[in-house]
Amino acid sequence: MEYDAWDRKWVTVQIDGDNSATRYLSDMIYQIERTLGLQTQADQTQADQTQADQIPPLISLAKDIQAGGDVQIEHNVINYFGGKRSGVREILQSRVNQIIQRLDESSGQQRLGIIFYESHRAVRKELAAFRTVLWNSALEELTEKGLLLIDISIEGWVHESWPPEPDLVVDLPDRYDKESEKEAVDDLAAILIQEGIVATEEAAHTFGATMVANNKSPKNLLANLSAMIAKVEELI
Amino acid sequence: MNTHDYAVSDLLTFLEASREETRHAVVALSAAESLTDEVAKRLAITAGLKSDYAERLIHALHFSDFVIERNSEWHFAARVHPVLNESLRDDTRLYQATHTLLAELASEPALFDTGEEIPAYLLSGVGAAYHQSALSSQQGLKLYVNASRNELSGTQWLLGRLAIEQQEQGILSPTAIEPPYLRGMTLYREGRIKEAEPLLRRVADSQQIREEVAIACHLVGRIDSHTSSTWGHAEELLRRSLAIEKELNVKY
Repeated sequence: MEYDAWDRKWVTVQIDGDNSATRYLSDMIYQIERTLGLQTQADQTQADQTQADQIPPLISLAKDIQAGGDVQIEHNVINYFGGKRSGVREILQSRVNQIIQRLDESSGQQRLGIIFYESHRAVRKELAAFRTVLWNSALEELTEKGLLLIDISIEGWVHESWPPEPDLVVDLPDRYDKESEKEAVDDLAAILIQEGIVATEEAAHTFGATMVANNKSPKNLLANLSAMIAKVEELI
Repeated sequence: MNTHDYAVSDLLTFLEASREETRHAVVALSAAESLTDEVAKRLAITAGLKSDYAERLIHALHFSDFVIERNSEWHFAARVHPVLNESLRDDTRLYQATHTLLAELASEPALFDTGEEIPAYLLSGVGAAYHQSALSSQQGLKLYVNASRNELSGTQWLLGRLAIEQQEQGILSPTAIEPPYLRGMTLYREGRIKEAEPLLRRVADSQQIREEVAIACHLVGRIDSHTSSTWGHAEELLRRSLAIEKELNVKY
C-alpha cells in the first residue's frame, strides 16, 4: 500500500487463518490492539505465561450418569483445558470497546485497513465470530470515518456469515484476457520508453506485444520484465 | 510442471546462483517458524554472513515471492519451506547451531536487545518446545505438554501443527502420544471431529496412565457411543478414562 499518497496515515492488519497470530478471534483482536498501540508484545507474553502457570487442567467428564434409556451425547466442543470462563465475554467486549474508542479518537489522523487474506481457508466459525463481535456491532459504522475492510478470497466463495456486503468487488484474474492483454502491451510500451530501452512508440509496442505473447500470467510477465531491465542495465 | 514445481524450481535456481554463505544463510532462516528482520539477521550471522551483508540479504528477500509477510513478521512460503528445511536437516552443524540459538532466545527472552522485534511464537512457549525438540526430543515433549495448558488460541493450534510435523520428520518418536494429542485436541475444539478422531484414537490406544490418555479415551468413547455397533468399545473407553482419573487421583 502506498502509505504516503493519502491524506491520513494508514495502519494495516493482515488476518490469515493459516497464521497462528490471527487464526482465532481473540488473536485477531490482539493483532488489532497491537497495531493501534493498545497492547505490547510484553503484555501478551505475560498473559500467556500467567495462563500457563496458573490454570490447572480442568475437564468435565460424563460420569455418574443414571438413566433408564439411551444417553445421547452430542459433539459439543467443550473447554478441556479449563480456566475460569466466567467473565471472558465481558473482557472481550471491553477490549472491543477500547478498539472502537481508539479508532474513533484517531480517525482524524489515521485510517485502519483490515485485510483478510484467503478467507476461504479460514476457520468459518471464527469469521462468523469476527462478524458478530467486531463488525456488526462496531467496525461497520466506522467505515464512514475511514475504516477499510478488504477480503481476498477465491471467486465464488461465499459463506452465510462472510464476507459482509461489499461496496466494491474487484476481480483479479491470474491470466490475461483479450482486453487486459491490450492494456498490458500499452503499459509495457510506456515503461520501455521511460526506461530508455527502446526509442520509438512503434518499437515499444512491438516489444511489449512480444513479451505479453510469451507470458500469459501477469506475475510471470512482471518478474521477467524486472529481470530483463536488470540485464539490460548490466549490458549497457 | 505445476505451480508448486515452478516455485521450488525458482528457489533452487536462486540457491544455485548464490554464493555458498548466502545459500547457508537462506537455509538457516528456515529453522524458524516465523521471523522478524532482527531474528533473521541473527540466524544469517550464525550461518556465517557478515552483519551488513546479512541485512542486505534479508532486505532483498522481502522482494521475492519466497517469503510471505504476516503483519510485523514474515516466513517462507509453504511450498518452499520444506525444501529449505530438508537442506537444513542435512547440515548437522547448521541445524544444531540455528536451533540452539532459537531455543536459547525462546527460553531467555532477556537475551534480546531492547526494542528488538521478536516473533510471537518464540515468546509463547511454542518456540521453546519446537526448537528444544530439535535438540532433545525428550525435553521437547515435556515443553510441548507444558505449553498446551492454555486455552484455545493460535498458539495452541501452532503447537499441534509443529508437533505432528516434527513427528512425521522423525525428530520426535513415532510412538510419542503428545503430537497426536495436541493436534487432535485443536481439531476437536475447532469442531473438525472427523479429522481429530484418528489422532485421538492413537492416544486412546496407549497403555500409559496419563491425563492425555484419559481425555482421549473419553472423547473417542463419546464418538463411538453414536454407533450401536461400537457401544461396547465406547463403554470400555469411558470406563478406562474414569479408572485413569481415579488412579492419578486428579479431578478433571
